[in-house]
Amino acid sequence: MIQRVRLVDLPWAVVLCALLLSAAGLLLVTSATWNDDAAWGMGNEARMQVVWWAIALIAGAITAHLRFALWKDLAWAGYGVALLLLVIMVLAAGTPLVPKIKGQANWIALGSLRIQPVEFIKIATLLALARLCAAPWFDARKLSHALVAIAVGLGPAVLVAKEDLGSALTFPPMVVGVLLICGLRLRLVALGALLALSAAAVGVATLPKDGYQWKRVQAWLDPEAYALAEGYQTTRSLRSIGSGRVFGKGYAAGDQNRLGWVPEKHTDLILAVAGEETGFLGTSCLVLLLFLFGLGCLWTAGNLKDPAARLVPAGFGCLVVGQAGINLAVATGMMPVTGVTLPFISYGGSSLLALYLGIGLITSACAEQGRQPRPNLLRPFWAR
Amino acid sequence: MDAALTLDRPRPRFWPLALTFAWFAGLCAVLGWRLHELQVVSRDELVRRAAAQQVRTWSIPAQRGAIVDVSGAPLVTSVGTWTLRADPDYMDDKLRATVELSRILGVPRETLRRQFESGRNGRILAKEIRDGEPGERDLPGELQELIKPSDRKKPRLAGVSLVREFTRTYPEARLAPHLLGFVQADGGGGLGIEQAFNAAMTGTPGSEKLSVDALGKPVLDGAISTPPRPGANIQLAIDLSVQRLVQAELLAGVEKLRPQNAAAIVVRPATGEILAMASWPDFDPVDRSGLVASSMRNNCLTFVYEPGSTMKPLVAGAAVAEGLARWDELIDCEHGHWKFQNSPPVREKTGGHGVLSLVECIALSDNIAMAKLGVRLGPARLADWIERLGFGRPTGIELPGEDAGLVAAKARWKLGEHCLRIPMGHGVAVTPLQLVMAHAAVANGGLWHPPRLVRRMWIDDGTAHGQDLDLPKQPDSHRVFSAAEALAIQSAMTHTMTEGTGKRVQLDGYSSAGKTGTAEKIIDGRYASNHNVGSFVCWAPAESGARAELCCLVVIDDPSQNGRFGADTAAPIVREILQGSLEYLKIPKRPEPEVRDGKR
Repeated sequence: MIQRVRLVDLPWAVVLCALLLSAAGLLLVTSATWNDDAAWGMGNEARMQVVWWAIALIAGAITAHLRFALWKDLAWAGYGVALLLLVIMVLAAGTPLVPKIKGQANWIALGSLRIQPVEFIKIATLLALARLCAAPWFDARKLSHALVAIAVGLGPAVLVAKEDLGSALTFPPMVVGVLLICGLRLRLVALGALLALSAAAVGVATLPKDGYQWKRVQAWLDPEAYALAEGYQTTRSLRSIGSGRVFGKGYAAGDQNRLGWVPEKHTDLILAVAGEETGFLGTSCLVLLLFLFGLGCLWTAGNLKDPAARLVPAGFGCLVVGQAGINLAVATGMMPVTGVTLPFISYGGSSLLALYLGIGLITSACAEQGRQPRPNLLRPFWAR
Repeated sequence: MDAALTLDRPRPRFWPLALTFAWFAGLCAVLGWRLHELQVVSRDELVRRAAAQQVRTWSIPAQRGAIVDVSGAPLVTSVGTWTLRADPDYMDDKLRATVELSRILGVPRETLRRQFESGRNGRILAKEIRDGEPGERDLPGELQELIKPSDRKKPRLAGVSLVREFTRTYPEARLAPHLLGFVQADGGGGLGIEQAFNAAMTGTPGSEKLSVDALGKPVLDGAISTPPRPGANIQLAIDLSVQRLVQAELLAGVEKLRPQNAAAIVVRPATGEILAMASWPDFDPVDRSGLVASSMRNNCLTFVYEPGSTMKPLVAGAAVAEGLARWDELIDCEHGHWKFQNSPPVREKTGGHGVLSLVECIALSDNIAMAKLGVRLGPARLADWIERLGFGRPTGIELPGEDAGLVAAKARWKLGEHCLRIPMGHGVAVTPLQLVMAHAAVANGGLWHPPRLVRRMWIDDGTAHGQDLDLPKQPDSHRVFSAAEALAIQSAMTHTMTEGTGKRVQLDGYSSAGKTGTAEKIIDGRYASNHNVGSFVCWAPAESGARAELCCLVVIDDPSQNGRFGADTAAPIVREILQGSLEYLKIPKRPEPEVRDGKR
């Protein structure tokens, strides 16, 4: 059950990118919640982030030391627990157990500890999806099989959607990513994308014109006109990002940040802090790092022989890159405002823990298979 | 193909991974392009918007310039005071604010505590805090030290601000309000010097740019402040003591005569400087509630009237200068009734005279003699002289709203009308200022100066002298009479004082030259004998070899009691003004011992 994890077994591209992103995240959260009186300016949030990072590293290491076969066996059980948790959350929304915070009942409060179950549910869903799609009978090219997989993958998202639309939106990239790797027909993907887009267009067009959702869409089209209402977050974020110019104003020296002009700056809009203080140089590095992380996941997937194990890094990469894409698109005003955090960067213990659990799973799969071939760009995996 | 076979391949297929890679790359490229768009391409607009939401600019009022008299005594000043405001929402430490402010202001702590609890920003805690005199307690300094300590290690008191404000004060109260003007509620100058020099006197407000946080609380670090530039100060030719005297005498005259309007001007003929200028009715520059608009009129500049006999010596001088008459020439005054061609006869209301010399005609103010001189001059030459004497156009004094008077267009002048009436001061309308300047030219040996009110305009820039500003351009001085002609007119006018209409108002110890004037006002289109404008112009000393120091004109419009003629109404006021002013200015009296020269 327990396996030895050698350093050479580690999916280094994934781990290194994750560590770099987490470190950048810690710096940005510190800057966003700067406290002059504290050591190194680290306020409560920054110190909590350190603690959660440590917990996440330990949890990830434990996960990696358990054989991947065990995780495969636990996949459906975990998925069941996740669904149960979701049903409880939907039923208990608004009670002290699942309090509404900022209009969303997506927290479970255990005493002073608050966790966001949806982050863990993403990982459980990914594992179950991988188990399902790797089953010998499964053929992604058959529509019925694909639909079953989509139902398994998006089921939790539907339950999440009512209270937390943003988190629900992070499921489809993951599901589509997994199915793609399994060999889902491209035609189907294109059709699905077309359907989703037209559904979104029809949905927007039929929105009641006096509802807040319509206003959000309007604010997305012209944020400055709604600067003090629906466009508030977007305009503040854009101004802050733009004011950083190419080289930024320097670490913890962004006045938009320090004077509190950006809302949600340590969570959803942490890009505003990065943009203001590190400039285009920093933000482009951030995007590049996220891209490299996704690439590392794909590389790892390419090197894994076990069909289920192969789907975990691929789906995980899609999840992280997709979620990051949504977050950055919102922060840069390309999408209407939805509350999605930036993986590894935004403040949030549950998110960090779940992400490192995912990396632990990937590492577990890698360690089980044995020594990883070193990346050989001259002779990549598909040419071997 | 078997499905299981596909999935059991030891390696995943290439295309799905490549496709996933492609959408990663596409997404990141779009994000990169968007960030480039925001941070490189359109950043300036975003930088501007970010600054606009974050930077607040406070204006620091500039001190309006002061007005001082010829000796530097303040007539109008702006006194800076401080207003202490509290913004409880922005206070970091309400307890400290309560304790410290209670100590400095001497207000009970409980009062302050309750004010701070209520949490309404912008509350005024103390108003009109004055800067401490040396040796006194410096309240603003203590507060400033609390808000922005000079020692940067000391904690600042947030949520309290000290704001500079200025109050216009008038140390001499109602002194020359028409001339000085007032400051309107919006800070702009109204009337007089305040209006004419408003732009220079206003100064440039300074500004303080501060960053504010999202709640509006200012961040005191890194404030960019531009100090205000004070407005220009103005020194007038007005002499405070003479002005006081003129106002007092004019007011006494007004009490006695109950006229509709009154004006008095004192000029120094040698330079054209105005030493005093008073107009009645007047107003209080501070409390302008219930103000009647007509009382804001400066009669010295805007009261347009027919000057009457005060015009006579000027026209007689012109006739002599043209070689058409001599001062010792005998003129038949026709015993008060003279008909020229088809014109209505010229009459003398007081009975008239027989044959008089021209000097006597001036002294006794004979109308028929003047009509005869007018006929000799003819329309063209008379019109030229009226223009040369400065009538029909503004004098160019540095005050707004000056009237040009009324002079008919040259082409319309007729021998049988204008030439008969204008020499005796009818058919032409002037302002008191025009008339006094014309006589001052005579007193000054024939050289006309524009009236000068402003001696100096400067900005306090920290140096002892200050930075001088250019004065507005005035009309050039010009010669009206030659020195000999002017002296002859003056000597004719001294006869008015010794044996003519001004006999009762001779000065004590000073020779003087003067002329009375009385004109009937036109009421409903005809001259009304019971409504007069009486005036008297006089200067002293008036003897050859002595410089005329002061020239004074008083105009009394339509007195309702105690006399009608200029000799009775205006002349006594002029006498008191000149006597007092000359003595105040220590002008040596006659007769005095000959000044011995030759020792050195």
